[in-house]
Amino acid sequence: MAKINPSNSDVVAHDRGHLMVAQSVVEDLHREFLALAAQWREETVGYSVITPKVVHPAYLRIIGMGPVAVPWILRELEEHGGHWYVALRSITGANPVPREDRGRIPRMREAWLAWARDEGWID
Amino acid sequence: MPCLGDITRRLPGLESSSYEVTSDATDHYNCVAWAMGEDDRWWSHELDADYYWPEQAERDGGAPAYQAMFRLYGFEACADGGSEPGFEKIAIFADGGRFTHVARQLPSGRWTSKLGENCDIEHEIDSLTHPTSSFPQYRYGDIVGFMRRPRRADQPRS
Repeated sequence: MAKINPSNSDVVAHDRGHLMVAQSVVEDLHREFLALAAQWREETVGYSVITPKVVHPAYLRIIGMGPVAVPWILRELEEHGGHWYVALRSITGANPVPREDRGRIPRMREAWLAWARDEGWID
Repeated sequence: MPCLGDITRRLPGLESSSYEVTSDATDHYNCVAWAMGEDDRWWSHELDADYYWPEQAERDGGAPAYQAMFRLYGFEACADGGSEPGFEKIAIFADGGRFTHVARQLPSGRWTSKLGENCDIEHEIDSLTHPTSSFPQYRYGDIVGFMRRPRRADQPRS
């Protein structure tokens, strides 16, 4: 697991309370994210109910990564689908899916991707 | 058509029975939707913010709550999964009292299941429970009830 140590050179600057961390730390986190996402997909794809998907340790660890993981989650969602909506809601506090589209997975995915473009999370 | 992973390893009961993969893997719908004849919506009692659940139905993951939800759509409890002309049947699966899966009977008397985000299969009814899967996500437990409703002419054939 990538760890950020505020007292060493991982932290390259402070900006209005946000830690600016070295690119190498972000790259380590991204590698960890990809491994966790693959593990999560493999170990939960058969569940028909949502709870075991979203309390899976890999999923919880990804939520714990916080905002840095949002663009990676969105890329996963775009390329592979999957039930990333709880993670996105948990990290961002947003829910751009209209009530009438709940459960309509392609529309949910599009709503999140459109929101993410509007909010500048992805290009 | 591809399932994700070796499906007979995940559901060992399929190995000694006849089954057929009838769709690609997709996250667009789950077994509950498929039992209701839909292939474009994910039903879930769990998260109102994300998924579909009928407003009149209780948000409870127990098998009785799911059976009550299916009653809202005209199903009633029945004795077994034997084929009955004019009726459509479903089989409710639960593990430790918690709903895990529902399968729908086809006019042929065989059964169809959507396996989570994985593929659809046509199968024999006991092939999902025996022997028990060593993969937790495919451990459906036991059949805790069969339900039936009159089959309509416009209901799905597959």
